[in-house]
Amino acid sequence: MIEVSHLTKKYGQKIAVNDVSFTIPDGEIVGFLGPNGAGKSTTMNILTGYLSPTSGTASFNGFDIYDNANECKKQIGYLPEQPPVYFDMTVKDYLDFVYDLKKCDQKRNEHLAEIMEVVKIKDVYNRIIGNLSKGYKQRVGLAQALIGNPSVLILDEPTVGLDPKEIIEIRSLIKRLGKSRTVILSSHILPEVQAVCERLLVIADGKLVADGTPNDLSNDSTIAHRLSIRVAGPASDVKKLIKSINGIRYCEETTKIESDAHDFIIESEPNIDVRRMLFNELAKKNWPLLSSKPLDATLEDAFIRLVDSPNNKVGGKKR
Amino acid sequence: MSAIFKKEFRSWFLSPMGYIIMLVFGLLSEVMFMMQVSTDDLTGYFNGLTMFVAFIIAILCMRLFSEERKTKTEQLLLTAPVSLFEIVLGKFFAAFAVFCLCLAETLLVVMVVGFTGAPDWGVIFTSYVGYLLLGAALIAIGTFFSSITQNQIVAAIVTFLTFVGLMLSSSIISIVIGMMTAISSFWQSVLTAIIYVIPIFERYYEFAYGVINVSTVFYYLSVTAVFLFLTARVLEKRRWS
Repeated sequence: MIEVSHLTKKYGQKIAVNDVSFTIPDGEIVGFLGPNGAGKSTTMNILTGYLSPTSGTASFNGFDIYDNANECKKQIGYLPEQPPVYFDMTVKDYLDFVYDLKKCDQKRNEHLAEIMEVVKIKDVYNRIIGNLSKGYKQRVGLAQALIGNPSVLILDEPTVGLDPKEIIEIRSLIKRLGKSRTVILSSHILPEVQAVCERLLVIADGKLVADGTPNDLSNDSTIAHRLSIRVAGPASDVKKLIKSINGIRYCEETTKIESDAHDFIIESEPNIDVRRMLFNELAKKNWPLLSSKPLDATLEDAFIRLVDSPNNKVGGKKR
Repeated sequence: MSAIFKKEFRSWFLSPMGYIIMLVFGLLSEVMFMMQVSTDDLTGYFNGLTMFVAFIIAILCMRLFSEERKTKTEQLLLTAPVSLFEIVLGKFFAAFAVFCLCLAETLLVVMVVGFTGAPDWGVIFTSYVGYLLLGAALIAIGTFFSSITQNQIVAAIVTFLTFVGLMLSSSIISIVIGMMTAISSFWQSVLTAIIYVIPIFERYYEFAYGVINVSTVFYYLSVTAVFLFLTARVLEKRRWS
């Protein structure tokens, strides 16, 4: 179990992390979400013992990261934003070095072979890391984090700079790894955390602004429902009609796609389903509704609302 | 510690760096020997090596920490279950080992003199002891300077200039004393104390005359310990800033 309480980190006058507290039970995959510079990396660096907090504590299974640093560090595998690889070493030498550095007690050859199998770097075993592609460097970095079978994996933006195929591979790898350990990963890519994580911690301006499952955050009732509709009818009249419908607070025409129809974005008041009313009203005028597509309920909306105004708190567990 | 020592020591010879350093030091010291012309007294030869030793050590130490910081690989070291002192000592001993290899190259000269003449083996032995102690202290200073910057070149230049300053320090201080004939005995004793502590290179000459003075041995080991301790403090402090 990871317990973080009232973590604050100041760089001079700048507050990078501001009174962040959370608890992560064993075996959860948690996404750390936030725009660049929100304090994700700083928090991760504190959790791994690279930086010390200005105030507050972090502990792993009861061991404090500052007082019992070595016990904690043994339980953590860390992949920083930039994989900490030595460019002049071969993959083999590097993994051997990390194995020694972490003072592992697993059987060396089997352990390393198993890890290389998992992250699929067997084919570059004898190559110099500096000559590998970004994707392979990232995987070597991940291999390094896995050495010693840590119960907690902390991955700082693990998919940045990878190609789409590699991203999918790394994501499914993280999911697999998360079955037997706790994983904390940071990202500013929403589909990524949505695909991988069971729980999201949204951080903005150093503050924790939301904590919940991806569904909690995206199906928030305070976010208005939006629809994209296509209607065959005269644009201005249709717009006037739509605006007159009770519960619709916004309607704007968007790019025209079909020659004899117009596209609109409409937004309804929270918790009101306007679709039936809309259909009936348009049917009365004989302006057929050609399509209707919900735009609401994306994590993206929730995310932007959250990080734009940290005081506007939404999410599963409101904080 | 052994993991870091091994990695660090090997890294010298993964790149051409280690070979170049050894080659340069070997060539310079051999040229020095040529200039001494036939003699079986190696005191002058050993005394003349100090400048090269200072140069080689500045180059040896420049990347120890600065490089790790720049490439962010220090994140691996500092988040691994090892203490700061293990990291510092591992790196220190790796640089010291390369220095010992360089020093071993001068054995060639000693062998030549041994075959052709009758050198004073005792003095040769104490000279090596002196160089090992001096080298350790200088490497500790270089390690410290490497830990306070991200730039290798800056680290090397600052380290080397410090060494040059230390070499000149005793003459500078004695000039100052000479100019200030009227100074009080208190200030004279202060300056004498400074003369006693600062000129790290001067201390070596005792060994060159075949003397192993316990206080000098202790002095070199203290300088080494203090600067390694300061290096660890610099790393620790960076976590908090």
